[in-house]
Amino acid sequence: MTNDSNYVGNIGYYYQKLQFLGNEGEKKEWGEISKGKDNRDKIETLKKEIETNEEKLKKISFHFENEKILNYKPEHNNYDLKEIKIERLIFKTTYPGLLVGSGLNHEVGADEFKLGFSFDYTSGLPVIPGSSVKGVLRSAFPNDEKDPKFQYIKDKLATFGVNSEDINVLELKKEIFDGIKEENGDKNIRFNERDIFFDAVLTDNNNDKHIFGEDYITPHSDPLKNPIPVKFLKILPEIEFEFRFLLNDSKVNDKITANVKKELFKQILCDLGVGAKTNVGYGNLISTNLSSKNLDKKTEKSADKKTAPEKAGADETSWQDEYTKKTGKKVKNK
Amino acid sequence: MDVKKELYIIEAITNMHVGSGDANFGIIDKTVQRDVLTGFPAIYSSSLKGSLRDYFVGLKSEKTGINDLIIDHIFGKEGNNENGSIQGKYKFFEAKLLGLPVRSNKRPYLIATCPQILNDFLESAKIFASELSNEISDLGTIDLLNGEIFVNGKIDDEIIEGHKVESSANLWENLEKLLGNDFVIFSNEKFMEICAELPVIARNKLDNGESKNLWYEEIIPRKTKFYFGVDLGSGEYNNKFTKNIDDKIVQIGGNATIGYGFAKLENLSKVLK
Repeated sequence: MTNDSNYVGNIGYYYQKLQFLGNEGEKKEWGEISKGKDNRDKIETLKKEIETNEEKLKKISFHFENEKILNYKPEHNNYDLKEIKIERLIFKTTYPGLLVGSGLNHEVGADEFKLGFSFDYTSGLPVIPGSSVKGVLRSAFPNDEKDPKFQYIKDKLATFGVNSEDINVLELKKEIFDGIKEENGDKNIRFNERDIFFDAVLTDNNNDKHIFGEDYITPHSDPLKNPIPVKFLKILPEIEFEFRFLLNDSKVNDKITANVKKELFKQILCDLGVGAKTNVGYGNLISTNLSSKNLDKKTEKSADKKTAPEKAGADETSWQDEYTKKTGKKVKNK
Repeated sequence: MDVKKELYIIEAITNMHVGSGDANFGIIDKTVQRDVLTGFPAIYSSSLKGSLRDYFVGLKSEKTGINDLIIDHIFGKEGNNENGSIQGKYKFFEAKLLGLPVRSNKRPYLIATCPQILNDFLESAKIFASELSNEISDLGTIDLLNGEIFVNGKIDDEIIEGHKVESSANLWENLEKLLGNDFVIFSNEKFMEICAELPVIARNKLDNGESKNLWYEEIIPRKTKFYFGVDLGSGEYNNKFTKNIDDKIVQIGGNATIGYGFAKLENLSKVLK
């Protein structure tokens, strides 16, 4: 319907609003029509009507242009933090893709994507919020010593040559995520010594590439019941995201330098993925910046090995199967 | 006595949440600070001063020459039993909105503002940067009727936050310096409507994948611009102050550890250069 293969406006705005808008009057009309299930026919008629009516076409054409989103190619990532000296980790998405912000509201039209999506307001480009990045990293840390994650973190640190016996993982967690240090009575860590988790954004390597795809889930309560396909928007595989941090050397343990933290975060992100539906493979990430300073080559290799894309698998139950039954090792997306 | 004053522009380079501590009566659990009269987003002077103090405390070192003496002089100090309190010699004023990014179907965003804001800005400039106010006096002449929208450099069929753009002008060179090339001026009424609906972000606390707490917070989208005036009193330590704040990144507001509130400060004289 449209020939502008590359939309130059704010795609987040388009997804959240414009698609439904046309203009104020049309919005209402459209809202009414698109609600009922029986209105498919009406929509078809309306579509035909529109095609015969140039004027109306101009106004309502918005509604049927999912292609506009799917054909969208970013021109610039529009969100560099060049003013701040940050650490960067670059990852690529893998099959089937990435889904962030699925819990956000999205107005429901007939042919529409049913789940929300996370966009940066200003640039309109997809973004993984800093809170999600911090959240997924925190989720890899244990709540107590019996937690299988306790061993997981120790094992990961050991691969960077940090002797795991010296490390109080629980204190480290408090320091990184809560900014609490319990020695010396000085409990709260000053803000400029805290670790900061910025929004993860597209890199400029995605410019002029398709980044969005559509996908379906078909939940049905009973194998014999009617499945209801739910269409949603996702980030395609092979799209590069840049995770950005401000990291400080740990005060809890001087071996945990900013760089070790960075490597640890890289590992966790590769192992756990980000966003929604990680259980079925969404949000898996492959690290693409293989060069990292100050770490021995051995670590690099073992890190690489784990990053081969693997297929979406069955449910993961308790924490990654009790860290694979008390560490026969392997916390990686199955 | 010679009183030194400066006017700074704040540009948010990440999203910002300077919380009011209030919830609204809708779905938003955490709202941002707003100017009481206009309803435009604002940063109250106590929040701003707190952020700046924290920033200066972080700078303390031999190299920068920032020490407790200077910090206490600028910001004051709370007294205890042995020592009396010190009153801060600098006066910080509320940061007011200069421009807010709005979304368009033809470009990612434009910075939006309105005549009232430009007038207020001019008034502040007369007080805090009197030597520059002549340069920007034409900002005070902009007057739009309800419903009018002016875009710098017109593009056909542009819709900005649901408003169809009809007029354009290329008159305001100084506004380009202040707001960037992509800007739009709404009438006061329309801009108030736009500011009433700031972007809202859903935050969720998960425990083992299970939602334990869900809340919605209002944010000031990145690229938003504010301005604020500082009265530097007799001007003692003013070099230390201006040198360390001009063209520097200061963190303002909440949620710092997830990257909120990083903002660039720039002196008006530099912006208009």
